[in-house]
Amino acid sequence: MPKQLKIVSQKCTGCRSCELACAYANEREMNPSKSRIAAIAFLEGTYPLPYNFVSTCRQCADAPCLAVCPVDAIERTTDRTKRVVVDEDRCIGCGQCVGACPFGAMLFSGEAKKAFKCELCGGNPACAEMCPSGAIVFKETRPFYAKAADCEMKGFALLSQRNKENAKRRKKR
Amino acid sequence: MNKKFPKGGYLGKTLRVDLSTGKITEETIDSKLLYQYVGGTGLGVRLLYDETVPGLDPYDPQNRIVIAVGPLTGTLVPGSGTYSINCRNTLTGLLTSAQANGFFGARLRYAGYDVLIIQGKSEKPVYLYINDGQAAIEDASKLAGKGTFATDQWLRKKYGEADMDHHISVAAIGPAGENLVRFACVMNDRGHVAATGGVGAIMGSKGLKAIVVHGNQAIPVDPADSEAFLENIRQWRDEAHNTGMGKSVGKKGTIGFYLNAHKKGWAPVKNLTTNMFSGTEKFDGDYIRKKAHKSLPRSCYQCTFTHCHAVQVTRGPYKGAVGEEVEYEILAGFGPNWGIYDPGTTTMLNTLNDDLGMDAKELTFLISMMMEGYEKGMIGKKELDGIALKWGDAEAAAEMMRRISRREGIGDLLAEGVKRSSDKLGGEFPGIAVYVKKGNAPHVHDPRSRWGTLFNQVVADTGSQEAVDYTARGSEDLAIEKPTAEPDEYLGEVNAKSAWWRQFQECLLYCYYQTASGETMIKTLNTLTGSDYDMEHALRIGKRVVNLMRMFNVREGMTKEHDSFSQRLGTPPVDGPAQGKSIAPTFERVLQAYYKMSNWDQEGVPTREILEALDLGFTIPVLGK
Repeated sequence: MPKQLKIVSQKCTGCRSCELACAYANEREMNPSKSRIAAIAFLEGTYPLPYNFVSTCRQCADAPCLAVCPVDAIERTTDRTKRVVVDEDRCIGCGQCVGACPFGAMLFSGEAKKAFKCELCGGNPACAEMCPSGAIVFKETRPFYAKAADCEMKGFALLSQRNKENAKRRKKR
Repeated sequence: MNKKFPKGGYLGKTLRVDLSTGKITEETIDSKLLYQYVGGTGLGVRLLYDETVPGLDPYDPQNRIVIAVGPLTGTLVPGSGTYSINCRNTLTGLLTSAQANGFFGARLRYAGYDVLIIQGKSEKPVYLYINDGQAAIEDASKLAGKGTFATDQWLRKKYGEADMDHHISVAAIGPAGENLVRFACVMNDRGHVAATGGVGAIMGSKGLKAIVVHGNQAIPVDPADSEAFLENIRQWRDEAHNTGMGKSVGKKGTIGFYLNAHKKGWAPVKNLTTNMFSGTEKFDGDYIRKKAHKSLPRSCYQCTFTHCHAVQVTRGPYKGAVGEEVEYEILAGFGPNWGIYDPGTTTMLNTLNDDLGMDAKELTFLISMMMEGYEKGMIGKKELDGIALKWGDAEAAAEMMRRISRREGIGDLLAEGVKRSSDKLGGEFPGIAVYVKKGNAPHVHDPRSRWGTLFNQVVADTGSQEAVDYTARGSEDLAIEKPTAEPDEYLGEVNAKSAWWRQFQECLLYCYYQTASGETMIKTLNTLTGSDYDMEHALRIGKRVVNLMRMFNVREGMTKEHDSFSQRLGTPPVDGPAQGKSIAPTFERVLQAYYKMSNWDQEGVPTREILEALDLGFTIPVLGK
């Protein structure tokens, strides 16, 4: 079984440690807007309490981003994490992968004009290390296949919409 | 000061907004001030001191509101969303400094600023939108009269976070702030409160309804130290879990304190007329969180605990009510202090109060005073505009809260706070009012046998707590070996020392519950900013802040008379575990020990020598008056 992130939003306390840890690990910036993981609180929830929602790349076993990339810049590692990575050199910044991801986990950099995503910090994810609640753990887990129902969740819809808009804007800039 | 200071941590920028002229300017913060005051409350009070015209009415447009954060704000340090509001205190006319957790502080930094100074007065209601180093004053006429929740919701929607919270924070006042209720608060991030000293009323007096912060700026970290900084933060987060606070608040919230406090006679019941009530089992922390409510964690920024929760009441007369989980003080204040013995009812009242935007500590001792007065026939239903303020009547209390927030009828008088209202009502009211002599209600305890809590607030210059209560424990960091079990000289000495340390912590700004060892916190700060502080230096910074706060008040005409308490606070409890105890007989001795430890004269005024030693020479002209 690959060693990947297991995220249970129900356990999340909403502290956003994951976002900041991610940005710091990957960009060396204390700046949550540079994060590859998103932690959002929905204020009008089902309880009707607010509820927390955490999401990053699921390293899908049938990754649509990988399938859609026209230049094979997205590939799967062969190590124990079996994670999906973007080869920056090969990426042409077409943004198709951003549109293909149903979880809104593929991001687009305005500076580099390339796609980027969670790559599990090279095998030692900072978000899981810093998460105080156990909502994000790094462990051996069954390969992930997206179910249609997952993708309909409000949080995923919101993130993928936002990423598509960002990519469109950033490509032009 | 190291030449390299500051090499990280600070954005170094102040945003100044003049609401009279609409002028918005950006200023650089002097790095010498950063070194002397670190940030947060210390820096805020210093800037306020420099810019305050002595003797003004709190509502004078010339007064400033200084909102400041620290170098650690917005980093991975636990509870790094905290910010500090410093301005004139509407209840005392002196200084106030109020801190709130949540997210606002961090997002103010991501928006580009360490300090926000607001001055002047807008004729129309406005709000301030700060985004990535740009600020704009916007029309808030559509928000006039709205509660804090609706205000938050409206602004979030406008800026693209409808019904969600990701990168935007709102700090707003409710109707109470708009109507200049003297104890109006500022509410941020839906349920986090900068409560003390009428900061919300000052905002209201300037026509400022809300502040929205949003941005993508990074907190600067020197790349050479980035790994060491992270390592120190890891240690801080670990240590925070293993303290007494970590094991109690970290797991059960502050409601877990209630029963212990009650058992010692430290929780207020019916305006301090008794310390007993039946049905205490409903005030057990586990019962409240798991049986009386459904709860979901909703923590502050970078919280490593499971403290704050969003809750829904599941039993009792207010089944279905929603809100933030009450804290110990609200539970006590809107519960037994009003003769209300159902925790769900306190949730309903807390949500209402959050929405109206008032300080719970002033409010609880205000309503409890009126309830006692009503019971004893000191005031009747007619004078209360038809509201029978009986002990335990939550609906009556709620209606009175609404009228206070609108300053309607008797609410207009009560909106002046405990001291002013009791003086105005006259008769026996001043004798039953609970306040410290500067003119504000204390935190929601029965502090009459909790010496550290009482003394701390009696001498505090901010209308809140300045030191740490060591009535029941000591401190390794401060070499306080034994608790302050008696109201004697030792209490005064410990209070001084702990005030210096506490005020240094308020310069750092983080969640106070997630305190690590002094060494770890100072090390973390040094790694980030390049400062060279040690424990001794940190205490000197804290002492500088405490002395500056005092000099602010001395300049406003404060005298020794202000370091005292109302008659009721001096009476011994009539029953319960603390029966017969009082600080009153030894108070003067404790006070003089505190003054002496602080290097102040017998009137509580800092000496020239200590002011000079603390780089506060610029305040010395005040002594000559």
